[in-house]
Amino acid sequence: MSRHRFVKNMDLDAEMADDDSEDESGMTAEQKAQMITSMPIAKAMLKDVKPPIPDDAIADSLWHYWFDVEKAVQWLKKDWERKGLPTPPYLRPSPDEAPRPRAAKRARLSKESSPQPPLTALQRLSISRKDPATPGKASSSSALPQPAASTPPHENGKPMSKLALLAQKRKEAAAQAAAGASSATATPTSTPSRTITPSTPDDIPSSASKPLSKLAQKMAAAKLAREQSSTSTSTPQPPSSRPQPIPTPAGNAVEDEEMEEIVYTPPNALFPSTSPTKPTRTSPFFNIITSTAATRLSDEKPPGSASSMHLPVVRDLEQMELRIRNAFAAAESPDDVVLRARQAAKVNPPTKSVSQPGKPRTQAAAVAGSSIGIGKTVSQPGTPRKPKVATSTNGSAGSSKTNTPKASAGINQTQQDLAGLHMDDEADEAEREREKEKFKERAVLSMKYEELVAKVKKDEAESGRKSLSLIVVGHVDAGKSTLMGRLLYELGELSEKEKTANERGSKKVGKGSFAFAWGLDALGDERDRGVTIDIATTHFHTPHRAITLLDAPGHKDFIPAMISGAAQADVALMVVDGSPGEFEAGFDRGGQTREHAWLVRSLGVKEIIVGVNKLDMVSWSQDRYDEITAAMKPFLVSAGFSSSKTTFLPIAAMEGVNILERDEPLLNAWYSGPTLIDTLDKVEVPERPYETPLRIPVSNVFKGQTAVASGVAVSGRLCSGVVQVGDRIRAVPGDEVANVRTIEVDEDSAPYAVAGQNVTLYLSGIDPIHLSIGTVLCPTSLPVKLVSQFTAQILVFDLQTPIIAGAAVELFHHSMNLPANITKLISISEKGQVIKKNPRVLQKGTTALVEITLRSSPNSSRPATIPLETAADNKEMGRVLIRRSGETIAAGVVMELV
Amino acid sequence: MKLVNKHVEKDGSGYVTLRPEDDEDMWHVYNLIAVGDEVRALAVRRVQTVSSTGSSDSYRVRVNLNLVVTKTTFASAASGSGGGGGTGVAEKKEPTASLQISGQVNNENEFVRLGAFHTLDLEANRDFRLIKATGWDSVALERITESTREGRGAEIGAVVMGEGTAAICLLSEHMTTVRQRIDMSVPRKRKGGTLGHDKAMDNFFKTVYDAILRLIPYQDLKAIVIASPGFTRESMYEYIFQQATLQSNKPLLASRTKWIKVHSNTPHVHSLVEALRAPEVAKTLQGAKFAREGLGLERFHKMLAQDELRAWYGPAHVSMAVDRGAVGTLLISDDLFRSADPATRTHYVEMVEAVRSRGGEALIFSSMHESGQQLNQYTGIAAVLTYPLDVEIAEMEEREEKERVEREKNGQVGEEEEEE
Repeated sequence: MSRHRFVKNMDLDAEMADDDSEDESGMTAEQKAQMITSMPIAKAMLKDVKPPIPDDAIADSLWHYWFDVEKAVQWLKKDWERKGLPTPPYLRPSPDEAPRPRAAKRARLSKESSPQPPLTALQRLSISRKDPATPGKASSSSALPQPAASTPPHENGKPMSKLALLAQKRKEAAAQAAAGASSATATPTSTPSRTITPSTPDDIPSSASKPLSKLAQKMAAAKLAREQSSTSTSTPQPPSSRPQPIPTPAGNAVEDEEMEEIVYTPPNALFPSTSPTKPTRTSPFFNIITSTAATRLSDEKPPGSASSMHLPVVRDLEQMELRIRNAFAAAESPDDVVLRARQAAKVNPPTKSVSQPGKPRTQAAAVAGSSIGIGKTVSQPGTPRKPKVATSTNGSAGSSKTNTPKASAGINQTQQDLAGLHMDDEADEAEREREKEKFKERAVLSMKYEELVAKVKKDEAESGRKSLSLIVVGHVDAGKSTLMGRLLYELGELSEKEKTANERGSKKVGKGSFAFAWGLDALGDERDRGVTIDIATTHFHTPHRAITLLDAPGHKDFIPAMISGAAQADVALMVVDGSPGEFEAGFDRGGQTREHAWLVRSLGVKEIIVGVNKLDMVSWSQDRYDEITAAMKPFLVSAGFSSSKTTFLPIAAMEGVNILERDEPLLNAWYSGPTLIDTLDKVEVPERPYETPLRIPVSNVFKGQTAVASGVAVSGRLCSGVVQVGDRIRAVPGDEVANVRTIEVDEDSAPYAVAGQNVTLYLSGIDPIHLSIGTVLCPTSLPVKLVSQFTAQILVFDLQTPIIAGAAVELFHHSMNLPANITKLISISEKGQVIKKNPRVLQKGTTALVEITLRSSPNSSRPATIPLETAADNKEMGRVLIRRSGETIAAGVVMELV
Repeated sequence: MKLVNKHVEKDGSGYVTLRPEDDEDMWHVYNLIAVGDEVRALAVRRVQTVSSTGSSDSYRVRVNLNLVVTKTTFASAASGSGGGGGTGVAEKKEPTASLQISGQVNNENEFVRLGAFHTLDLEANRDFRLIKATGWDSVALERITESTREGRGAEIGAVVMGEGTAAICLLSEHMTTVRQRIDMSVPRKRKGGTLGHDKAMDNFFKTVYDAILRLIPYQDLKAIVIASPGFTRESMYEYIFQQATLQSNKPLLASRTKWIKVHSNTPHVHSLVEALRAPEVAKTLQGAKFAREGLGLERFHKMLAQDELRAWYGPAHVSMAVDRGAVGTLLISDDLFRSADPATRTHYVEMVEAVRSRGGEALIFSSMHESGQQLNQYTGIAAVLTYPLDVEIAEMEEREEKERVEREKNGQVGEEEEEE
């Protein structure tokens, strides 16, 4: 199965793009060996052929015939003689063909695990084959009365080897036939005969190589599963047993495309070899014909109903069928007849490994190719794209290469007929809309969560780039925004143009030194006052990390905003002002340096980078740097940062020194450590709780205004779990459910998002009034609890006034900020031991269990509530901060919800 | 409130006749009337008569009724139960708070039998007479003096706000009423445009401005405080006067000097306490009751931080401290005086009197103020002591004292027995 694995790992697009190279490279060692041995023989046999046949053509055909030198040579010769010119595309064992079976295999292997939407119909087919149990409507068109069924089911138990043999023979015959019919205009006699007749292999490539519209692929995939299951269950069908109308309104949208497809469809496409589950597959072509014919005959449908749209087509199809049948009869070999009969009867078709030697490779391709046809034909009823057909038909028909004049004639007729239909019926329009909706839903790849998680992990491991959130904290005016502006500028995230605009703007208002900060401080107030007010979110990449940057305000009035940002962060960058007197002002009582350190630590940040900024102001004095680090180190340890997770860096944001690079001789004299970006690149990424239920505390609600992303949008960080496009999520508090329409991760749309990522979700089906900052989005099945009272284990910080029972405080939880009371002091503990019960006061530094009750406004009858979880259930959802009169007095984890 | 008549004997018996005039008076009355008191007021009584032939007849009479109070209900204006939409802007003077008194009639007349129940709505500008069942104590008398003082107190308006939230309040001496809460969602800034934010903020300011015009009688108020964290108050202030200029709202422009911008740490109503402590406001208020209350509470908090042994709270503990004469400032909520149990009320009154008699200060907090609500959270009573006292030691002493008393009792009994 090494091939399978190989195939699985291949990039589909690349593969499709250059299949020629693939042909060679796609071989296993064994096959290569075979190739090597058979190549010279073939060459020798062909050496008298003029003009000489290129090696790769030989290789191709060898591959094609599965290293059967004789056959390949025979084919090549004939081909060559016939042409003297390059083989027409439909006759050439086209490059497409080789990869196709592999693609099929791969798809089968990877099943639906790949989120990439552009699966070929082929892949989808194989996917659905893999899963014969796919529930589907039994009413699929395959069950329709069909001429093939007239062949009595017999020879069920025939050994497969015979079949294989037959197939082989058929191949040969087909090759001959192809040779015979080699005139340029020759029909590739794809003739879907009424029995599942094999046709020349030559037409297989043509069908396979025909590019499918995405739509067609999707349709095919969507329908196929249904189709298949029904066929499998309803094996040999008495034709009359089911007078089926096509289940869904028929779309003649694809009709003519389909016609082409049908024409190309090699009957042997239905040759069941590869799939063991594949039963007497009736030709889809006939299904269509018969079904539509039936519809026409019964004509019960009101005009304008979708199925009646087939009427004109049917006429053509019938004609065509006739023609094709006639045409094909000539090409049919006795072997084919036998085979056909057998196939029709076959209940349990032989499982033939594609790699079985001696069996022409084309067979698999043929199956695949035909299945495209099948898929298409069958899916026709569900086609959502009808509207375009009428218009596009002509163009496509004109441009499409029709090999059969007959067929093309049929198509043209079809077109005319189609054009004659009133496609734009109002009722139809609505129906189409609905269909479109359905189609949309189906198009969504909804992977199982486990698969998705596995994929994410794999992707992460492969790319070597982990995503991470970084919060920048520090005392006001330490230069946080400036540093980040500089960093973004040096990384190229902030364009030169923006930078000069900011420089000009800031100079104009006399705040030239804020030029870089303006890159992040976008609000009018922020720019006017030169103070960051709210979190600015942006992102950048280092070689190994995809970093979401949260630039926090330093001013103490805006700590709520800073908390909202810190709750989303994994790692903190603390900026301290190195200029004389300023560090002390920010670090000693009243400065934000300490409070920020406590805050980020108690919100789960374990790693901190301290950037000693503005060292250029003290002419890169090492003494100053050492003095600051000496003051900071013990403090950070006391705040709970282990010294191994603390890094100090000397930097100068304005000058841009030691950010990306360092060319300051004064600094280089004594510093040789990493630069900021190096440090960021090595930051440890915490384990993400993918498996816990989804929780997204909303940090912003807004209206998307771009064309692609409009409507209600929320942003926030996934605390846990995963979310995919199409998921239904519940907004708590409230009883509203929304659909995830689009997911944006780092400003790019993504099919899914996982814990730890900062995302913007565009929602549908919800009114924005039900969403507010602080709302938690969660799965409909596992909503967050709303509580108004809970107990929490708190650690009391440095505070001015001790906490007593009844203290009025503000409770912070992610972006929420609510008035609350500490209603009960339950116990004080030390090192896990309860040392005092019912304490009267809580002094600083104590760890205590308290009961917190939200304050409701005195006039409202309902108590205030907050969506919360215990820390045991969900770490990030169980962290709270308690503040009072402008200072953070305690941090806690939720122990119990009351 | 007008004091119409007062006849109180030295022993506390006697009656007082009062005429409430506004919301705050209603609050005072609510605090004065306790269960068991006797209220005489004009009431409208529906009388049903059945004639000898069996036909019944019902009509309303206005009679003066004497009730023995069993229940009182107070609803402040903000709760919306006041008047059911009958109060227009023009009738600003009319009280919107309502006070209902239920009780049993204790003097019979021709329409109402003795012991019949009646609920009367106390109306503004209508006299009523009150006889206290437990007698007039100092706290009750003090309230009467306070409430009948001419030109009492400062009335100020306050807007506590943050980005997207605002509470518009009116403060009088004893009451804070939140007239309106505004909560709007303001999108936060994000990369690629702050348009949403700016728009929403503009809309928000407009809403607040409209609410201010509607709800704050800025011409009558002493001051209007805008409190917020950050720069919201500045922006709001600018918006108000920009709009006033645009609309040439002369009275509003004239009131410009009354508007004070104060910093508060949160946009929640409870930071009103700290906003009112701000020096610029305190100066204007000059010893208004709610300002004093705020300062008292702050003193308690500070003492708690400074010396835990000098800041006590909880009825049992404070009572112990009062017994020891240690209380310098007593903070007590008027909630406690509304106690249905006369003994409890008497106990608290005694505590207040004891503290005052020793030269201490006793602040009676109005639970209609934010500070009073915070005090209520601390059991409603707290004290700043003049000297440190360890609660546990005091408790121990108390226990020992009790035991000693009991032992003495027992001892005496024993001695007596021995004598016998």
